Amino acid sequence: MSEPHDLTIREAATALRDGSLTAAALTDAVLARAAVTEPAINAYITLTADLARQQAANADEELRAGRDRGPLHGIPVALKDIIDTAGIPTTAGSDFLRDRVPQSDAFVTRKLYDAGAVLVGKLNLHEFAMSTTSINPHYGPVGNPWDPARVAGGSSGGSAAAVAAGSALATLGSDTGGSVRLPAALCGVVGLKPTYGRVGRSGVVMISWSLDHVGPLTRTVEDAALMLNAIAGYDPNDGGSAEDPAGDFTRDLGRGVEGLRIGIARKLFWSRCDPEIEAACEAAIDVLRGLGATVHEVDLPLLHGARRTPILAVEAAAYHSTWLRQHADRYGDDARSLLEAGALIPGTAYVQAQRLRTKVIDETRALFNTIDVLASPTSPVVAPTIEAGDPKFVLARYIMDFNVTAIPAISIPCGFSGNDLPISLMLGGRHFGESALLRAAHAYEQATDWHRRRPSL
Amino acid sequence: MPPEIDSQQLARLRTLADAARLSISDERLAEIAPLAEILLDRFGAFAELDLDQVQPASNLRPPRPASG
Repeated sequence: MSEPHDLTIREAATALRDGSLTAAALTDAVLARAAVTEPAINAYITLTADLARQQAANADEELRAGRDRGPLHGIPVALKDIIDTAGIPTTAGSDFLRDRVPQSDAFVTRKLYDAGAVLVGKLNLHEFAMSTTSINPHYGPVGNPWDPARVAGGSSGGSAAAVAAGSALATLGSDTGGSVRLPAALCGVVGLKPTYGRVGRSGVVMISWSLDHVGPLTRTVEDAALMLNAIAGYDPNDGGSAEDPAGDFTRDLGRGVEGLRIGIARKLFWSRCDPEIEAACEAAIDVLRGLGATVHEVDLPLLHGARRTPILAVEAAAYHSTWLRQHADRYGDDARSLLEAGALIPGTAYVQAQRLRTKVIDETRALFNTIDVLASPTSPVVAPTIEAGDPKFVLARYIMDFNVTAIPAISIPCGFSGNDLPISLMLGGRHFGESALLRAAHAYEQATDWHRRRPSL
Repeated sequence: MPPEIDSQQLARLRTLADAARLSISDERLAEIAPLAEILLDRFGAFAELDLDQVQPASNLRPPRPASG
């Protein structure tokens, strides 16, 4: 058996039920792993060891008493530090909220507790989740477990690094412009951005009401489905929450991809890509083709015009307007620049952007009458060094469109560069079509072994 | 050293900052000018689009679930 901290959720769940592992031992193993890896990767802002051990003991007691809450019962997880946890600091990676202790749990926190998950801690991120590197000016940069001198990606850098390093079995991140998928890609784990509205966001520090999503980061596609099963659902306190019944996202995982139609939008999602990454993603699509999928060249003409939309910056500037006017010097450079630029955008430009977005969403919906998934690299480059950063937002080149169109998208490992850094494939699906998306990703994963590699931290 | 910015561009950004009641120095305006211009350029693009009868997307209206 793998070391306990290296198990998938499914493997750990099986071990917890066949008596070969307890939640207490699993939690101790994960905390011990964090003690080893944190000096190098700085994935956590707060570790909640005492709480985790108490929750794990409760989980073991419940299982012994015959109360089984499902696959997440007794599983050590961690949350991006913009997700509220009652009684535990939630900083958003900011100086402003350094001492903030929420009085109640976020919707998704409560969902995970109800599913029996054990909270290991709160994860480092780009300040206020506002950019691509997780080089945090207040809590230090998150190091990539494959090379700690490189960025983990952002904004959910700690969420990805912890899963890759083994200091959590699964985590939650948020994705406003790619912030779950990008760090997942750079750290070689799975990252799922569900459809807009699929997962409730109340109790999550907002960046952009109309672009924010919450999603899981895991070691396998099946684990992502298990996490989505736990957190999906209608949130009455989130105005963007959908009432669509969630169902079981693991149900169709084994159905394969025979007849699946894969769309390739080269101008949008493959341009200016590192040749090594392009080759790895082409090879991944060949694997899916070999499993019975068909490949089709497509385009989304209106989406070209919707790129670099001001929506995110304007909504963020609105959320932060008081702090920005009174204490701009308390922001790091990245967050401050985005907010100040957003504050300059005229209201008409924002509304026009949202009107164009309506057309883009309609265009996307129509495209998915002819294909089942869109495939592309997640990032055009591998993880840059912390010293270099991402000043021109190259890392975000392909990912934000999926927030504008609101479709679900998943990043899955599909190779390694010549210098042993992860490369990932991104698949997008139709609105509320997570099951088909997960099925395609799972089929690829089962045919390859990239997801089994672990960094040698 | 802040990046160079021409006086017309600075004046335009200053007008927008004043309209937004944002207290910001010329040096900061020069710093954020590249990002701000990227976002502002979209305004020109939108003006050429046919948005007749199109309502803005809203976070209160998630996309419709897929049928079937």
